[in-house]
Amino acid sequence: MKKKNELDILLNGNDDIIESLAHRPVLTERERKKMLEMSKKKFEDMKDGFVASDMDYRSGESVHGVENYKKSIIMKRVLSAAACMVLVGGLAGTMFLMKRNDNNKGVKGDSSVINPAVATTTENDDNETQTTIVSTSVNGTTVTSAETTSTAASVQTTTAVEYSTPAVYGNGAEENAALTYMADFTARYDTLAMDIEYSLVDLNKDNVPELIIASANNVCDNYYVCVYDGHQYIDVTPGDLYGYGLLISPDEGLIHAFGKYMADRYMKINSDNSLEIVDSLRSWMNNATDDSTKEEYFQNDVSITESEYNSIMAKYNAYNWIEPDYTFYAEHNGYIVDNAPLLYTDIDIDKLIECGELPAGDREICVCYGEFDYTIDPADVSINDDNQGGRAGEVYSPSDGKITDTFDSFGQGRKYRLRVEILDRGDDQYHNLLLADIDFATGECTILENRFPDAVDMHF
Amino acid sequence: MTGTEYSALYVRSPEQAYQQLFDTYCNYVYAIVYNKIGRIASAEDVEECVSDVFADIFFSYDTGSGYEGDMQGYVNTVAKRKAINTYHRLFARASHYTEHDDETMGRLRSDTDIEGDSDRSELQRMILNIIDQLGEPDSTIVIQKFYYDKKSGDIAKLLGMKAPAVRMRCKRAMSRLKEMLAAAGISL
Repeated sequence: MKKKNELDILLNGNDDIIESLAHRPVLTERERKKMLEMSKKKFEDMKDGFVASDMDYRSGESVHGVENYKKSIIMKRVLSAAACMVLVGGLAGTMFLMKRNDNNKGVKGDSSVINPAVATTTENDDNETQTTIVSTSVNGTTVTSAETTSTAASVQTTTAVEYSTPAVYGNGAEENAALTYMADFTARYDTLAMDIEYSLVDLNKDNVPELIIASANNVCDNYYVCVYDGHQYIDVTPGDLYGYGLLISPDEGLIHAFGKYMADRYMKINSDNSLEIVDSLRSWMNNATDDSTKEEYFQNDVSITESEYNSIMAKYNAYNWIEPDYTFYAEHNGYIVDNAPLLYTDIDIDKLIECGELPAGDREICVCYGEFDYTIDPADVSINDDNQGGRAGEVYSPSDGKITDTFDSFGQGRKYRLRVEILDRGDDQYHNLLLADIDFATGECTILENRFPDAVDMHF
Repeated sequence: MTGTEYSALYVRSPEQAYQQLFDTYCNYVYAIVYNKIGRIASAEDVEECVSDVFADIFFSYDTGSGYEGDMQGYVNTVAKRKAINTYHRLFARASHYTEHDDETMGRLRSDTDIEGDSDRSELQRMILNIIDQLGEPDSTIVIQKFYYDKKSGDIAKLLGMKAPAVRMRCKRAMSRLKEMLAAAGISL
């Protein structure tokens, strides 16, 4: 049985409801092609008299019944991820992880700490592991903690050669004030903050950077302009500043916001820190009564001629416009925005079946993950909590043999730390294969449980 | 697409007729199938059932029947029949492994509850109307995520957006939707 969706109430609707649902975008081109190819193959089989379409193509009741349709790339990656989680795990792994986290909490338990920036691990001759965690606090100071642990043999931890870390910021008062403002801003709008970016740029040449925030998406962007009053950043955005884009001209000290069906707005920051709209220019297609159309032009809502409009636009177009150099705030919330380290997964389907504990035949391999931040105990992470994680799976057959892949973007958009579980569904029941904790920041993959170490592996 | 159009196209090129029919009714058939079996079926089950529907239509539709009307009614009938068959097959299979939940059993019983079905249809219409009030792309995102159970990445591809943007809008749109539904006295 699938998990319940919020809009399951729409299931089992009458024809009107179905019609309404069908008129909305439903399928991607890839999904359409996949189903078209499947139906053609079924049609050909039916013409050849092999099977009736009611036969379960995956039940194994017919030689011709197995539908071999192409697997999606995402599913393949997921599968690979599943594949990689190999091995050894055990109680010591869990203890190691929890102990490490407890230590982390010694640093991160302080609410003033933004994020752990870097964790490095070294091992001495006595099989002791020295872990050093360097964090950056809100006030810009660097906090360092060190921990020494004995490494139990049953814990398997792999470390990525390269890994990304949350951005480290300087000690400037403006930068700290900007981060404080962003923390409040993202808390108000979206704690995930995956699409909220910010940029510090000095627009009025007073050597104090203005803060520009873009709550961006591909449909319409919302922008906010904030100025520093000596203590904090203050929003001076004139009403809703939305559009398809926002450019700045540092040379002219101007901001240009624009969008479809919207006026081109040119703004500047005055010396008193107020934001002034210098010009608002728009053209408008007016439908005349005689079926002809007429283009009309306005500057600050005053009608102007086309040549005047073009002349003013030419002046602005000549300026050097650039996009602000944005930083994703999500990094501060423990999310990977870019450059996630490669996570490898290996699953040997044949060996998995040879173990004799799982059903043979086609199977779905699922990777579930739960996200957790640095402030809660990993033991509290629930993989099946919809608000904290997700699941993806892909169908494989024994003929696929050993699958190895990399999840080059597995971590992108996710927490630096994930608890990952690989499940096998060969008979409509989920069977646990592997449980691991992943830390993309440090590039560590700690296997907590692995039922089939010869067949399943995960590592950086 | 009318029966006449389909038959004429079939004479010229069965391949083109196949493609045209699929393009015309793919969303429609998917909506029907998902609506009937979405609670119990995996995405692959739904896709397989949809492909079964089209294979059946291509196999069994009589292009010499002379039918001139819209084929939607025919497609509707085949899709519903196939979806119901699939539902029973999947439910029978699932019942070997899982206990029946009250909701699924309730749905089976609801087929004979005329008054309940009428109330349910009215409620569904109201919810869809309120979802439409979210505007695009939020209404599509909400339907895709919380009805079709699609992943943010797939929704992003469908709408030409970035996955993080979908996640963000999704979260906010659902909050707004719940507020609007609550104002209308509806709780999900």
